[in-house]
Amino acid sequence: MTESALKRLWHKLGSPRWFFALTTSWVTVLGWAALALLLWGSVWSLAFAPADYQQGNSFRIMYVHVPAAMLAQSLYIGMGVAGFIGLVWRMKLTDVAIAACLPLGTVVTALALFSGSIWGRPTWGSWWEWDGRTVSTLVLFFLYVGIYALREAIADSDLRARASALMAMVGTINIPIIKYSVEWWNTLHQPASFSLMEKPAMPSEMWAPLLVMVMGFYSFAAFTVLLRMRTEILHREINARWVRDWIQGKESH
Amino acid sequence: MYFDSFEALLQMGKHGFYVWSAWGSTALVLLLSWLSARAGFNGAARRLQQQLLLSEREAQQPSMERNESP
Repeated sequence: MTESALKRLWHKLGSPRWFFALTTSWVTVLGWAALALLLWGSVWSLAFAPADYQQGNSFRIMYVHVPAAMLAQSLYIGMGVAGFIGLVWRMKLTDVAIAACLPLGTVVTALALFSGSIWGRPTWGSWWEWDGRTVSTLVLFFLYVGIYALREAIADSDLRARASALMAMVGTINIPIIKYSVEWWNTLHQPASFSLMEKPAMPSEMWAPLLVMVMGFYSFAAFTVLLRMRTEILHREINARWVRDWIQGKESH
Repeated sequence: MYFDSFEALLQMGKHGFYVWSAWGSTALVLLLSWLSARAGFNGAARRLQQQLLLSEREAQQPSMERNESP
């Protein structure tokens, strides 16, 4: 690909109109994929996966806890990357992406903490432990809430975009802390269930349903984030000709 | 199925309360996230439609002020 073609693609990527048209069919596909994967993964995890020899059936909480925690971190990394691109290249869409990742990121972080707490009770004998993994995930939750508050407090849209991009970027420092917390500090928290480089310690009957659940969570996230981005684009481009054309096309169907 | 009966699946050994409350809260969070994202999009599309209809009506019926002005 020539340099000018790459440049054109980069500019296209920043165009709300192009993005809106491109993602129309994606949203439908991702929504159905998420539903199918989550249903399949749920039945498999709850009714067919074998119980853990030490933790018994409480280990089935892992199938929602691990995907929620992975997604909580991934969405934050996504916001950090969007923030960086937004600050360097002033791309309009990046602030739309940050605004769209925030709601789901906040609730899945809360869900990771809540499900972890429920899992902790039968496993560690306590609802909460002030250890590295739980505290750094709590900090992640506060970072999400902080960006939310920041966006609510700033009326000027340019300033709001720059401030939240900066906070998203700076906050990514917490992600490696969450990841390595189980190695750096003494902890009750078990090490990672999944790793990109190593074979899982669990047998395949246990990790295969987890893989399906993780894929289901990520498809769901892509689905809702795209839907929210499309909503935000409609709000922002309300006076654009192409938005009017789209509405008229929708009416005629 | 791993369990002998549906009751055993609900009881999850001694861990039914923990497993089902974690799974129930997950289902609730995902369901509400989907509904709120969908309501946001449909609401925005509806508002746009209304706005378009209003501006079309305004274009068809010029305001009285404009007609009466010399």
